[in-house]
Amino acid sequence: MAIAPVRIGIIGCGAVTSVCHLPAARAVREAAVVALADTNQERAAFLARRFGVGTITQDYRRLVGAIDGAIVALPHALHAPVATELLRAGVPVLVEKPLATTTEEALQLVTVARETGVPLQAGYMFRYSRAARLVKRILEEGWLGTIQGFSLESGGIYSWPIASGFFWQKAQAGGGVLIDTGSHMLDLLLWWLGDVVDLEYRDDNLGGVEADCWMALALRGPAGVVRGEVTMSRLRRLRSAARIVGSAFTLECGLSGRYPVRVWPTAWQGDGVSFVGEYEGGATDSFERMFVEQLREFARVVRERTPPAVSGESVLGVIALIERCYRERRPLEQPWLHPVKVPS
Amino acid sequence: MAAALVTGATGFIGGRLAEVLVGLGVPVVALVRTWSAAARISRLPVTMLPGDVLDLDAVRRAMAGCDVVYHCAVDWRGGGRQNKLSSARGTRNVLQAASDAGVARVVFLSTVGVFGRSPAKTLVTEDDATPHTGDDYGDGKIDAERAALEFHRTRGLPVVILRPTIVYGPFSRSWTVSTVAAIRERRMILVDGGAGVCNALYVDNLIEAMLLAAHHPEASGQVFHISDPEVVTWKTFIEAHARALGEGYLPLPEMTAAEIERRRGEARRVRRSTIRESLRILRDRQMRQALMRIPAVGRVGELARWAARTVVPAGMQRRLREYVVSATLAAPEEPASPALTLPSRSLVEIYASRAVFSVEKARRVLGYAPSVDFQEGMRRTAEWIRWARL
Repeated sequence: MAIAPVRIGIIGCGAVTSVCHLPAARAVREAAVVALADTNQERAAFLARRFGVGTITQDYRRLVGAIDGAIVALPHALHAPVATELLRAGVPVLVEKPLATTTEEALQLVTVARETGVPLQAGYMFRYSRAARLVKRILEEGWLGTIQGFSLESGGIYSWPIASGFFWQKAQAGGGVLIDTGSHMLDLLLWWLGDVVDLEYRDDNLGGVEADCWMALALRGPAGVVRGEVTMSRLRRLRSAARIVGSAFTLECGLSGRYPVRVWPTAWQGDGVSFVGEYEGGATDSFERMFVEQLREFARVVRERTPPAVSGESVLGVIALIERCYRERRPLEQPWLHPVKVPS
Repeated sequence: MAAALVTGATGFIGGRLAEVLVGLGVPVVALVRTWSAAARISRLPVTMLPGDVLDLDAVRRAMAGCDVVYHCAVDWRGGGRQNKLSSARGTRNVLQAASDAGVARVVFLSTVGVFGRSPAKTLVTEDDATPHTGDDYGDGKIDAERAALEFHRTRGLPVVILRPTIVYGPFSRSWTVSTVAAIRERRMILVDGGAGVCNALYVDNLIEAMLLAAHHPEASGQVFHISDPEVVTWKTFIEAHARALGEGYLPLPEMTAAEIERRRGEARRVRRSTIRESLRILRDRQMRQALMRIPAVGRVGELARWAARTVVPAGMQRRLREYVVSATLAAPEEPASPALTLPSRSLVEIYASRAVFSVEKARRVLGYAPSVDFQEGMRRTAEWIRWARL
């Protein structure tokens, strides 16, 4: 007999809800989105019509009792307070990244989840990527030899269809490309390679939020300290790939499109000859599939009340890293910028 | 300090202006039509208000508390007609709101495109007439300029019209990004050997002019051409961009404007006769049946591709190649050689123009004396090109 799907409410009707969560829900039989909450009722009604959601509300509190689990997809600064409230009301939550904008808030949230025993899942969905899991396995099994270094680049001309201006405000978004793209990319690096030992961070922020950033990172894994660089941008097209160089093999994982993973002998000094790693259960991956996997996991967590694979605790490291970057931030060189002569 | 409103702040010139104003300590308000376009100005402490210049109420809200308005917005959605209509209507809204709010100065960014793409005169001044030319972009700006001067005359609105030339530099999509892309993709041609006059203007020099226009007491109600004072040819301009990518892109192929036009006509004729010939063959019943027996030819797209490769007679293919493959880039017998994309007719007109836009009036009235020469402008631009990985 088919099990009834868990009833999900989505709080916040911005771009990620319309582009990712609602389309993912169509593909997950175990979950049904039954309600949408947003202060912008016009937007909520529009999405409800488009995706056949029965209930909309301005006040998410009204959903308590009518849903089995909630996805929190609000402006970043509201993630922790709203998720805390829901956990205390006994509603399991999947919180979009960043889980919180500060370590303090994230720790409080994790503590509430622990005390109440209500599941808290963190929306760092790249961990559900087949490519990222393959990389994790390759590293754990030591295929590459001794890890010698890494680099990660992720960037493009920004085009995400954001529905409001919160995203550009430091107070509401917590930052720019670092806390946005970086939440995923740095989470992967920490997951793959270990904890932060040292860092240098620079960005192009001139009083708003950064659109381009660079960092040098030292991470400590089981085999010792490994150093590398990370570059992320909303203003230029970067490679969108992570490369990990080992003594025997070099690995590259694409971070967009089909997320290809390629491995070649480091001694070949290039990527002219390579072979493509086989994913478990298929040869390609996609952004959409990660959201589907994430929601499937959330449905299981809600039903079984068991801890999720990507728990709140598991992302405390990346939140602390981002917070430290902002604290120790130095300006990024923009050598084309010079003062303009001012008329007297 | 009173704030400045910048329309078009998410664009190339408005974005740089916002950066400079913030650097000077001026509070900046930006009217933002598309949130996703705001990444560059999100680096700045600007107040972003949602809205479009086509919405008068939104313009009024954004203008509250501002004493200077820089109107840089342009609408590239929906092609030329939309652009023309929004230029005129959007500018009228800005002028109306500014007049009602009593702002101290409006700086309206027009274009030398009001003279068309290839003015007949070799030295163009602000005294030359600007009749409509049929070019939507230029014509929209002409209408907007006329509205601005009317608001000045009838309501005393302190508005200044600037007509910049070819504005290049970091983040210039029209003249730096597209030039670099054409060079990299081996589709850049020096029209008439690049002898046409480029009228290059480094973006920071334009910003200097905008600041002058915003504050100079003599500027109100006036129109000014803004260009770099050096006369730079298209050869110099385009080759400087090519050098930023590395010497491997030089020399660039050359072709006269007349030759480009002749090839365009030939290519069009060949395309038409090729389609006619292909259709004739496909109309043949036996040929169609033969085609359908091939398993790969199931879908329409496959059929079309296969037909293009197979059905077009060899002689026709050779003729076709002759007109789409550059003789200067590669010999026609090399099938892997890059096809030559001819520049659009409007671009050819701009590249071939010998007109120079006089900045004498800006120099005399505003004291315009830009500080970045072409060499320095390109040095900075090249730094950005490398950073942006163009």
